[in-house]
Amino acid sequence: MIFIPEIFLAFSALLFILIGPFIRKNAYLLVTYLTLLTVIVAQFLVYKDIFHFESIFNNFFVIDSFGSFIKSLLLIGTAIVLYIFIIANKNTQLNRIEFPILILLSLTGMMLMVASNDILSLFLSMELQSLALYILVAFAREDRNSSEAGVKYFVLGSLSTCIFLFGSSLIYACFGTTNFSEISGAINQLNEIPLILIIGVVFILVSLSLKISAAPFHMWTPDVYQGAPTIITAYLSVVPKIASFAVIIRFLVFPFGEIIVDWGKIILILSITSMLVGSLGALQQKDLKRLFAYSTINHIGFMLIGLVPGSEDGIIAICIYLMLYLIMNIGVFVVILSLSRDNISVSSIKDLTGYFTNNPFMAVCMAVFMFSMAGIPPLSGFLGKLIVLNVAIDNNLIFLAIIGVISSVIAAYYYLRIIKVMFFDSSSDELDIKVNIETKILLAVLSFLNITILFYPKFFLDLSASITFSLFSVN
Amino acid sequence: MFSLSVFIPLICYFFCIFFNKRIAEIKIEIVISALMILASLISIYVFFSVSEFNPESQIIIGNWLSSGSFLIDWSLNFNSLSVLMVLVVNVVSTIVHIYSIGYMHNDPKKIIFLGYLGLFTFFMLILVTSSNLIQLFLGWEGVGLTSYLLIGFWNFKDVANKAALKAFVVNRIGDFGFLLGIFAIFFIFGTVNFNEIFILVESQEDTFFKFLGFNFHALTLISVLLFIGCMGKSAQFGLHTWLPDAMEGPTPVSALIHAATMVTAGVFLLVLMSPIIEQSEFAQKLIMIIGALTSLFAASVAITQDDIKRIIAYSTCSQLGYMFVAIGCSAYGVAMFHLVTHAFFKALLFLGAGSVIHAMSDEQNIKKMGALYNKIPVTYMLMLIGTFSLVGLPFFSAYYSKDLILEILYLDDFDISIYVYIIGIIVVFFTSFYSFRLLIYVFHGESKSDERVAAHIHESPGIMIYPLLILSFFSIFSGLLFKNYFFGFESLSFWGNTIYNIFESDISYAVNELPLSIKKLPFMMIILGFLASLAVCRYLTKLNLYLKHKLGFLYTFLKNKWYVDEFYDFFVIKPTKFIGYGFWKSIDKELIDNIGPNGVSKLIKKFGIFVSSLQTGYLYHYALTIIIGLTIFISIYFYN
Amino acid sequence: MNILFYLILSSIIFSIGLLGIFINRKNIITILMSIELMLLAVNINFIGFSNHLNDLSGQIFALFILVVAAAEAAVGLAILTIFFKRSGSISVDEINKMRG
Repeated sequence: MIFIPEIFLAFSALLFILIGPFIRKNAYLLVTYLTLLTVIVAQFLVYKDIFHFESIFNNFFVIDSFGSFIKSLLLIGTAIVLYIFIIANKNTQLNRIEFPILILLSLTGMMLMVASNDILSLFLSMELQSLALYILVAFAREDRNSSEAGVKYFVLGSLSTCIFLFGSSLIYACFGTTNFSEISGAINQLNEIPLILIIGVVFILVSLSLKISAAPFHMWTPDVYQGAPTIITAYLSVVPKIASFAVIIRFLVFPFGEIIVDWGKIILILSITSMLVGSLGALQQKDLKRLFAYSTINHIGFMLIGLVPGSEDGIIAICIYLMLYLIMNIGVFVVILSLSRDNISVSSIKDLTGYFTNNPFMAVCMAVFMFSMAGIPPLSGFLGKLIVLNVAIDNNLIFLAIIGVISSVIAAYYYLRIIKVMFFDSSSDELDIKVNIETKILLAVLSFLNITILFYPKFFLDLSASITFSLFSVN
Repeated sequence: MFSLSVFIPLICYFFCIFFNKRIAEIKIEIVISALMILASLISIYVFFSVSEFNPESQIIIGNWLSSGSFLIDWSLNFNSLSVLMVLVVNVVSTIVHIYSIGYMHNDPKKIIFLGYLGLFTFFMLILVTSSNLIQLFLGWEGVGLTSYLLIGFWNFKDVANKAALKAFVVNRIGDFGFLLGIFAIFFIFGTVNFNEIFILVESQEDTFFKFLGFNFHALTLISVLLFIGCMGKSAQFGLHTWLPDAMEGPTPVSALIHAATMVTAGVFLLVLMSPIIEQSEFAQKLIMIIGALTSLFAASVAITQDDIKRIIAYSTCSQLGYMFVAIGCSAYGVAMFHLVTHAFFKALLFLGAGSVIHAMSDEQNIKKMGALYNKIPVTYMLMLIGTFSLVGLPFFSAYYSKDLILEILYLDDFDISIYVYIIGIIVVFFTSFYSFRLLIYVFHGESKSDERVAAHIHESPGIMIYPLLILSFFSIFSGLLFKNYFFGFESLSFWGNTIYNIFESDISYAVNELPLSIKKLPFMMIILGFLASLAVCRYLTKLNLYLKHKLGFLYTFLKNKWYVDEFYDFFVIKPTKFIGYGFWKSIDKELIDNIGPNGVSKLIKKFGIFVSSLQTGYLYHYALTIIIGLTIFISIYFYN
Repeated sequence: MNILFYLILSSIIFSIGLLGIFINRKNIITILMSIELMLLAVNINFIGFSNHLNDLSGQIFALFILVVAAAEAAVGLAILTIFFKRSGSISVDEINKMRG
């Protein structure tokens, strides 16, 4: 009975597909409300057993506090995205019942991913989320960019799947099993790690890196972010990232924790290249969504620092960082989503000129998110960077910390440039001023969180520590 | 109650700034005047309650810094020294506030001006009531800042801006010395709180401070560094150049800041630090020599100046020299005495000069005035009182304070004291000479002003005159009133142990037992100066020309203020500018900027363009990148 | 039969699939076919190892891969159709409106 949230989500999705066609007016809106309700209910179901531990379905899935924590982050992220879809979406092409249902299906996939304890179940749930996301990216059918992004995402995503499967077959070759628990047990009995096992792990790691868009496997990210409808970009930049990152953590730390020396190097390279590419690539960008794709890559690089030592404190840092990343990024996309001129959505940096004078509230919120992302102290982004760098220094990874600091200095340039454009440039071509009150309230809440979290670091550190404990206590 | 006397001026400042242009000016003026009068009354009460019952009180407002053993509080320290300063500052400030309302009547920024005055007063009070060096430094810099703002208040005048900048920059040099002094004190004593420092002074008597292989006597080093700070703020010879230029500010500013309060901060600081100064004979001699040099320099330059305010400014400089001389011969109480009397009569002189300038439609050149005594009789009387006080005619205030300095100097046992004494006597002559010269040129002789100005000459309005009456009262009687607080047996009970006090009985006796010839010598010099000025400026104008002709080089030397500005310009400013320009061009712009910030940002931009150019948009390139990445990762393990 | 032969065969097929993705400049359909090829290579691997290790789970895995491959092909073709409608072409060289 502990698997209730996922089952509930899956059945709701199927139910909505069935009832959708029978609703006459504004079917998509009703279904979206229902989906939102479903997500909120699922959230309660997750909370109910947050510190529960159990492995189910013949050890195919595992319920633990780490998974539950990530699941609740996913649910929060999805709930916010659905909410802003209801209140702020301007793209009428998205107004179909399939939209919330696909989100729900991908969410189900992600929740199963996080709970997977077997390569097979991981593969299947990953496919569930990927297939839903491919469609979502190409959802704006009238828009050439959206379909181009869909093609790119699909091809590279499938390539990633193939690589993943090839890696799984190699691991299967080593142990004759694909179950994490059994693999973990088998590795402990090996005297020497066979090369084929490492190659298999590297294949899977590369595939997962594609999913979290760590450089050099990031290439699809800017194009897909730019092309996808903004609301999907908001979803894509947060929820699947968190899920895939959680999968990487579980996959590397639990069954392959023994061979950390081998995968540590790869994570190190991924981390460095992601931070550099994320900070350098954004410098030339003119489109906000594209810019935040690079910003995401940079943040992913930062989070990977925490994984390099493979220790518990690193995972704690990543959990906190993921949480803060969710708050910052969703906020940014809410602002981008509400940018429009003559009721047509715009998303280039140039459009923000003089935003402060014609919409001071939004500009100030955006500035809060920008400062937070840049890691300027009174804001919560600083906490994430601080603890991650702290982990690096504690584990004698000084050069990694230095690269992290340098990259965040470069990144600060483009975050601050946005602020400069909003506050100090004057524009002749003004954006629409009208922003509905719900959006403002949501932004106010997110900004408030961004400002206040830094003052209660202990609470979040303790929370995160109690969550990650389950990950390490298994073996 | 005590702390109100410090915070009312701050309230005034905020009041002015917030209500400027929101409510009628007259209402603001009334409120400000009332508040300042209240502050004065409170400070009088504070003065008497502390001086009668001696309840030294320290009001701790809050914690400022605490870093290890380095603890600093925001606190107000009321002992006999500080309440005296609070009294003087508040009274003079109140008078200047009220005077300014009249003087700045037509200025559109009048309220802001009053606000700045209030802010200045607040910082000055913070300075004098501080119980640690850091808070004192805050006040010290605060008065420097407000002084800058007020000198450059008429910022449409280019000279005013330059003068403000000059005052600020020259003061930086002094402040640097002061800061080093604070660091040295913290280094030696491990604290910056006065009470703790004074307790520890005895134990550090023989401490030496090693630097670059030299051994410095720690307390001497501290004293000299502090004195350098004081030289800047109190315009002693070498760092005095800003003071005459500061006269470009409005006249009330000159009266408040550049005569009565801020410039005396240096004297105050040294008196406050007297237990340390007392340990270093070298520092005392240095202070004495610089003080004497300043007073001689300033008084001699004042003889040849034509600008009414500059003459008084040089006079201030010269009187400050006297105060430092008094500090040099350990007569700290007497230095404070002269500080107090000087504050009153110099404020009176400045405000009187302001009144004259007001009457003459902003003319400041004394050669273009004349015969004003019957046109503005009240101002004339006030100026006369101020001058008599300044030169030290018997029973006017400076008669007590200045003569006391000279007499103690005469009795002092340093080998250089007697020369300094001779300089002091000469300066009395000079003082008398330039003071009466000023009076003669301004109020007597023939009118040399043009007709348009002459037709407009009028007595200043009551709001400018009445405050001066109060000041003139103090100018006449403050010597008599306060004499016992500063000198003699009663001073011991007044000062308690707040300053180092040498007036053990014998010196008091000795001063009283001095021969009449010494006692009367300053008076003789005054009369002599008066006669000389009368002769040169009024009756024997040919003698004047003859002197100018015969002593031409001396005259030009004095006229050009000993060529100090030119000296600095040639030896300090030009070379510095030259070197600075060279460094800026070659090292900063060419080397550091190109390699450093600009170079790095260019490089990063290039990297950025490179990374973006990798993003070709072609699917097969993306796929290829993924395969390459995968291959590299796998090959890492093959080559291990 | 040596397991190595299966591995070599599957590796070759997998590599052909990879090459098909980035050498092909003409047609997205070819890319879809390449992806199918790679999935089949993986299937060969799983079935080979399953046979070699005498373990059934590899074959089950292969079945699941077949199912997913079908679903993926369906989604891929659907997206391709939309793209063709919008751009009038399925040439790989045309898919570069977004870059930089």
